[in-house]
Amino acid sequence: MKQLTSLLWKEWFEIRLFVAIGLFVFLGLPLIGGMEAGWGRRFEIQASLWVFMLGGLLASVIGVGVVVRDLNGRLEEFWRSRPVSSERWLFVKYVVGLAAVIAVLSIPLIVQILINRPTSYDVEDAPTILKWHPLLWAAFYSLSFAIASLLRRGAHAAMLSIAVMLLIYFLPTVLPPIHFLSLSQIMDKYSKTSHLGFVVVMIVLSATGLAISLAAARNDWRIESDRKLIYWSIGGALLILFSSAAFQIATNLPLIAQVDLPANDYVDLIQSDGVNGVLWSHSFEITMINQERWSITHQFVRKLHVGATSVELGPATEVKSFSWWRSAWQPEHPDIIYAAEAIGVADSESSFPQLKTINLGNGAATLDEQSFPELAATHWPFDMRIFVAKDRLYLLGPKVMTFDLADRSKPRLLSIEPFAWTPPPGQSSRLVTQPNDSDYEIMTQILPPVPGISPRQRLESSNVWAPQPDGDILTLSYRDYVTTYRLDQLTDTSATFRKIGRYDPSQVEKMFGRLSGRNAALGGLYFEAGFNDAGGSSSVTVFDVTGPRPRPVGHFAFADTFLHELCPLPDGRLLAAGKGRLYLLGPPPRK
Amino acid sequence: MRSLLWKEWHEQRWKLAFGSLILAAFALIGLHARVVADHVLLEWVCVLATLLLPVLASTGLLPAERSDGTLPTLLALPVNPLRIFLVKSLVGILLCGAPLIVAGAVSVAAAGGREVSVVGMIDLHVRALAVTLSLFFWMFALTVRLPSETRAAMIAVGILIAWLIVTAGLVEAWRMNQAPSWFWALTPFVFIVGFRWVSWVVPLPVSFAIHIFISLALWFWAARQLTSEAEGRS
Repeated sequence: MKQLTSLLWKEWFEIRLFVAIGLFVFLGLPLIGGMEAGWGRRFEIQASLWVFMLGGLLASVIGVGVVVRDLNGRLEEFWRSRPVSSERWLFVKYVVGLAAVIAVLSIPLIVQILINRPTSYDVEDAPTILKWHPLLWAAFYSLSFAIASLLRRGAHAAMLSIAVMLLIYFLPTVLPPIHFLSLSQIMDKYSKTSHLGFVVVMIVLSATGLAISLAAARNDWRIESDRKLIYWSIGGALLILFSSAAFQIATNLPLIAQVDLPANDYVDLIQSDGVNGVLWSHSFEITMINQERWSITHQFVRKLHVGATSVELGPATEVKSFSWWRSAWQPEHPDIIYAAEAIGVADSESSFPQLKTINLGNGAATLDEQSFPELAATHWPFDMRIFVAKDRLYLLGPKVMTFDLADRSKPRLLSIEPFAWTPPPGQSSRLVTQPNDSDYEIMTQILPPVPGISPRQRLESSNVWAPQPDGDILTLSYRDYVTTYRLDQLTDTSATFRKIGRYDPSQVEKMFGRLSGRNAALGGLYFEAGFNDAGGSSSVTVFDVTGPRPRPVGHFAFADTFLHELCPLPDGRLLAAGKGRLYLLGPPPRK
Repeated sequence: MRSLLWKEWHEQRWKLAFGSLILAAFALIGLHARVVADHVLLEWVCVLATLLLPVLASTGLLPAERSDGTLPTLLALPVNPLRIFLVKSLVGILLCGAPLIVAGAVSVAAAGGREVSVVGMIDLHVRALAVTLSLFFWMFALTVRLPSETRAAMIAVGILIAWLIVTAGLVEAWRMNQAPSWFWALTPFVFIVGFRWVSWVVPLPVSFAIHIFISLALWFWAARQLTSEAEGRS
């Protein structure tokens, strides 16, 4: 007992400097920071951020420090000559070091919890760290202890320990099978998943580290380390991390064809059925008028033909004052495009509708315009919609105008009816969400009461929020996650969707690209464009949305700085357009 | 001379392999996985090379000899110290250049002409090589008298950070003034960061000439340091 007490005293005597420095960094500095925050405010500290970021480093430093001090040179020989077993001596060292690590990192968290109000905004959640991180620190400490016991050289052991720490920190983030060890998973206090796997793995790592250390002390194992070992170990760890990250989101969509557009063309919209289609684009022309720089926008439309391995574009036809977002194109009549336009009345705030018909089929495009100044009203530009069902064209505004399409190139007005399609009471939008935050459980789309078309057609035409539903599935991306909804109820006046699953990208996926908001869905696949801020390039990620939660199945990186338009084709291929370039990508390998 | 070269080759070849393997693996994995556009990935590889290779090469030549205690023996040999310094410099240049050449060759073989033309890839790697060599001469010269590899590495990283800060300052000044400064010609990063902005203000041949002059000046100064040390010992 006396021997044990002596060993404990010795270890405490030697480690107390680490404890003092650790408490100063993790508790003293946040206390000073809290005092600097200003008088008059409630005194609060933010120790959890430092503990979260640097806790693992402290564990590694202490793990190496307590070992190499004694297991090195003549001091080691002295201790081996004492009447105490090396395992017992090392075990005491291990326990005291571990206790120091846990104490130095836990005390600041406990102080923070006691001082700060429960409603305070803490950068990192102290109770969650206190609950799970001691296991992680114990694992780091034990592995560093083992590495130091084997190498017996402080600098080398510290560098190797940091390499191992990087692997434990980041490999779970990039490798989905061990994602349960990821800190983002552990720190999610709203997560309902069990962390039993994390607990078991951390205990196993700690026990392994201790067992290796004791075996090394008993058998006098040591590894001769030199610069080569250290360089190769750290280089290898970094390569493992990079390759794991890279192959997690590796491009697997084949590039079938690439077509160059004029360099300044920005693609606005592509509509295609997989064979024919149209492509809308615009470009800017800078011109000097009265010695002032003016930017003039030119709008173009082209016919599109998609082959097995190619995309052919027809000649560009310039169209003026054309609202492509209010246009209708049908695969059965690929040469005809309809568009609704609001024409302003001079010296008035009111406007009236105009229906434009473009026929691209006769070599040179022809444009037919039908104006209805007698319907002048103030609200035409806003909610005007246009859609085609069989041989009828509907133009929705303050009134619903129905056209007969017996002659496709010359729509004939059949009727003008009053049209009331207003948001429900208390709502500002026709898309009603519950709860009213970003992660909706239920979404209800109010459908336009157009006579003569089915609720399903109404739903497909009520494109309030991109993308349109793909069958019964509606997929939305918001911030950095993708959520799927299934159609629960469809009536004449509304469609109700319920949430079925959500995909949260890993840190690596976020690093290589954030969601850009450009998306499209077809055939159970959801395509989302991403933008890489650091690289100034873009990408597209394909999700399979037929299962209980969105599942990424494809990825492609583009040299373009921004993807402007995505158009999925029925066979799983994708037309994607950036500035001055159009790509045809193959379907993802797994659907 | 041949014996000196053989000695340096024998001691430093693992660093050559390390640099080449890390850069080539990084390029190959990135280009194969295509997580970002090819030009972005290639720029990352070149930036990694400019950060890693000069430190790796400069610290392992003379400071490592000192910390191992072999420098006095080396200087006691019946060989002109200038020749020893020249051989070490040549090996340093090889340590900086060969990994970039290997990475460039791997990149061209894996993705040449796919998104970036072969000429574009070669151009990028040549410019990265210019940055790497320029930084190497700064680090090699300013660490020539340091007693240990660790201390030399700290000084080398300090030099790297100093030039990065200067370059960041020049970028910020360019953003504010909309006119690139002639000081761009002095920073080693002119060949990568400032290239697209300042090539019309500081023509590329002039930049090369300025950096060759600076590198030679640093080299002669460092050589003088070593020879005077050798004379002091004798």
